[in-house]
Amino acid sequence: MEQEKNIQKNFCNGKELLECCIHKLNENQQKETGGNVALYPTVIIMMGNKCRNFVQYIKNTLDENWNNACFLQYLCVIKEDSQWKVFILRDGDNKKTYTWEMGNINWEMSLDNAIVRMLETEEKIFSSRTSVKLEYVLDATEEDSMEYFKLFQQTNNTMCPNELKTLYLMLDQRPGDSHVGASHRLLRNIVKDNVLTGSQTVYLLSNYLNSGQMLGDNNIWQNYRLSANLILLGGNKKGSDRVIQNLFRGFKTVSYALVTKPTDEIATVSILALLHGLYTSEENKLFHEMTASEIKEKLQMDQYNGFLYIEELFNKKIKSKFPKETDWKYLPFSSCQDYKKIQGYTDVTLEMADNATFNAATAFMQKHYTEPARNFFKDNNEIIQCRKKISGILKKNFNYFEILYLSEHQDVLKEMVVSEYHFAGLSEKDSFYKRLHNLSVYKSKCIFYNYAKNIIKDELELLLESAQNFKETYIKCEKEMEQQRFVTDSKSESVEKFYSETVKEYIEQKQQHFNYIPDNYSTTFPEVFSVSNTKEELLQAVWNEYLGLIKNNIYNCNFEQELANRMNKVNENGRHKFVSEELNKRLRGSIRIKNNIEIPMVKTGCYYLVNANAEYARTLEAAGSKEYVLFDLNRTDCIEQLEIYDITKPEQLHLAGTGAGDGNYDNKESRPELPDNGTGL
Amino acid sequence: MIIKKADQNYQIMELDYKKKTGMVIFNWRFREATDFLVFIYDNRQEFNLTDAKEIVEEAGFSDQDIINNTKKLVTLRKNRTLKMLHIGRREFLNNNRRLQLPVNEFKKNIPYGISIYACKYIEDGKKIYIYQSVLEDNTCFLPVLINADIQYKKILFSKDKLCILQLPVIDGYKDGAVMYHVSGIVPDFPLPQQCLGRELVITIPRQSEVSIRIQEKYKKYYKDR
Repeated sequence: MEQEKNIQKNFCNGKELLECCIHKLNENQQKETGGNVALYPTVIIMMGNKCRNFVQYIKNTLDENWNNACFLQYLCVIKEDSQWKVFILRDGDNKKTYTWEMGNINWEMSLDNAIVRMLETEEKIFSSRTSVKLEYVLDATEEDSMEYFKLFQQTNNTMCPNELKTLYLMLDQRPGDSHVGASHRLLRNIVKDNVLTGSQTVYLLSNYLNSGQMLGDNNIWQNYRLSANLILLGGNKKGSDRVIQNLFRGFKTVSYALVTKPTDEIATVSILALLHGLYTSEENKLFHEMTASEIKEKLQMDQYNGFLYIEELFNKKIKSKFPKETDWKYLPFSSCQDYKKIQGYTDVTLEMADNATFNAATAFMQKHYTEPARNFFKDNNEIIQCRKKISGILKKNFNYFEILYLSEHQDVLKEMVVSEYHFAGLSEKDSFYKRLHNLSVYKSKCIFYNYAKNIIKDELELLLESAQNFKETYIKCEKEMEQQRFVTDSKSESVEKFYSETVKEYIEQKQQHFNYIPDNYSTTFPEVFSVSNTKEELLQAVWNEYLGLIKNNIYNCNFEQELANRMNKVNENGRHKFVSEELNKRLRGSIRIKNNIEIPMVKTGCYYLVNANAEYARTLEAAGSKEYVLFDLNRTDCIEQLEIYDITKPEQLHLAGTGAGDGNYDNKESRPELPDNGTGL
Repeated sequence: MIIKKADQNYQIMELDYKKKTGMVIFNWRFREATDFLVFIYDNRQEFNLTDAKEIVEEAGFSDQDIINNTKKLVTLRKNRTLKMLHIGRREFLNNNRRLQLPVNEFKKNIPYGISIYACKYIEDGKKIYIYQSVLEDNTCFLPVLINADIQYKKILFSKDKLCILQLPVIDGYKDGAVMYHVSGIVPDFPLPQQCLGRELVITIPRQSEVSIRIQEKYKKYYKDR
């Protein structure tokens, strides 16, 4: 993560930062390594263009749960003109992306080769090699969908005659001929002759759920993950043969409940709370009434209205080149008497010296004292250096909130800065030449300060302007994220409350860790509250803080721990009850098909997919019920439940009359609910 | 007279001078020119060709007059600070690429600037085309020689001595143009106008000497011996 901190993300706006935060937190979720393996060699075949882009949801789920998943074969077959073109899935560079690479042999040969590649593996990889599982996925709205179905039916591999073929048919019940119309036509053709053989299974997975909810583009991926779950259940080495038998043969559909840790929402709440909390907590700590002496101290001003840096610069660049005090002795006097007379004075001035030297004293002073001071600021490079240095000092000494305070008191500040440089005074004991030297140094310094103070004033104005710009940028970023939250927020009060509090604690801890002492007005988050930050730099700095925040174990704990943390007042039984209710609530209405008439369906199995270490899994196991099968999921951030239904009379399936298929949405009650992402608790 | 933009071919190069037996001898190189116009002016005042052209025209010189009647220096201004002279290419070449002017044309207390321009005279149209200079290669300066009077006086029973310095009064003197230097002392002492023409008493270490220096930016006006 440290390395990641140094990587420039180049966020352009709050939306991009929010998206990245969500992605990062999802990526960070722990996944345990389980003991599940695929029993049979398995080929996943994506049919047509439409479904092949969803292969990641299947592959990721299988990869996460089967230790030998890397040996499975993925093919994509697409009908082009009258030919079948075959593509093979290849891992991308970072193993997180996949690409389809075109194969150069025909479909049957490709399938055989895929099976051979698995049979060639070591014996221990697949325990059973007498059967092979062929998992087809087809979007029913695909052009030539019937051709694809025939391909599913008629293809027989030559390598392993004992094959178990399953088709996951993705039905689209959205209105329109190209959606529900196409799905309906295909389904009618398939069921017309009830042509499935004993080893063939067709899972009907529609986007229109029995409850009336419709899965939109944002969450249609659930059906692909559901397919992967069915592949897991039906092909897992460790499992009950009896129950697994229920997964195959004939037309089936599934009800599916998925409850996940609300990671997206947690990330959203956290980054917003972080952005808001950083500002308010630092403002509370740092915004304060500043006294004149405090401002002077931060400006590094002395009692003569001089500035430490300017003094140093003057001494280094100008004063070091001044004549020696004693050089004043060699001025040209009008007479010996005048020379002697001036030596006797204790209060000699430049005017008196001029009177005795025909103005040569002033000429000497101008050439060697005031002219260098004037010339210094004629050099653009020196001015640039000086501005840079002054700007750096101001930014270092004043934090953002102090600058905001100063911008409310600009007149006082400017008056303070441009106030006249005072003369430290002369001693009566000084010789005439020392007095003349000191007077000339003062005159030179006054000129030097005239230029320098204008630069300080300019830099302060720029700083005040930058602070205002920073404030506007900060608010803008916050708004950009808030707008995004409006879309993603599922209004979960417990998430809001718990993670806002977590963020608050994080900020407070950091502030304490930052050696917080009263009257220490330094910001704990200098990277964030740097007035010179551009929007991109500000977002990057907030991102870095976010990375620090999510190091907290709270952000990486599993589904149950997260729930326990968030709902700490509810005991274990209460939480289990809550989970059960949520699962049941979701399960009831989530049968993956909505027919216009009630069709006879027989529930043939119930499956829980849950991490073996979860309390919920232990409770289910302890109950020892034969009504369900427990599958040990490697993921820890979710619990899934499936119920398999046999469709005993598939000929009664009639999608087009559901209200969706007719394209008739005039009756508001039959209108499907808007898709949402409501899978989180 | 028509002023033309600088042309690489009509340029005066390496203009220089030397003084010899009552004469100031100028020499230069060129690529193309039928004639040359020479302007002599008080260097402390700004000189530019456009102003000079106007003054020439105001003085009533036609282009033909310039070619025929300015073989010797003619004064263009009443205060005699701007003079002009014309020299033909053949005459210049015949004189071994030299132009000789008597020293008495130059007053002792005035620092002079001399600018020479390459010209093309078209006899049919009686027009002189005068070409501007790219660099300042067409200009040289005759600075005023500063004659300082420096005397020393011992001071009894002292490690110091007195230096009596006197400089002549210089017209249009710029304060600080002339400085004196005390050997062994780092800074030079600039002299304002009021110091000129007076005896200045400087107390210096016995081993030291006083010398005159000209400030860098005034070296084209003044020269020390």
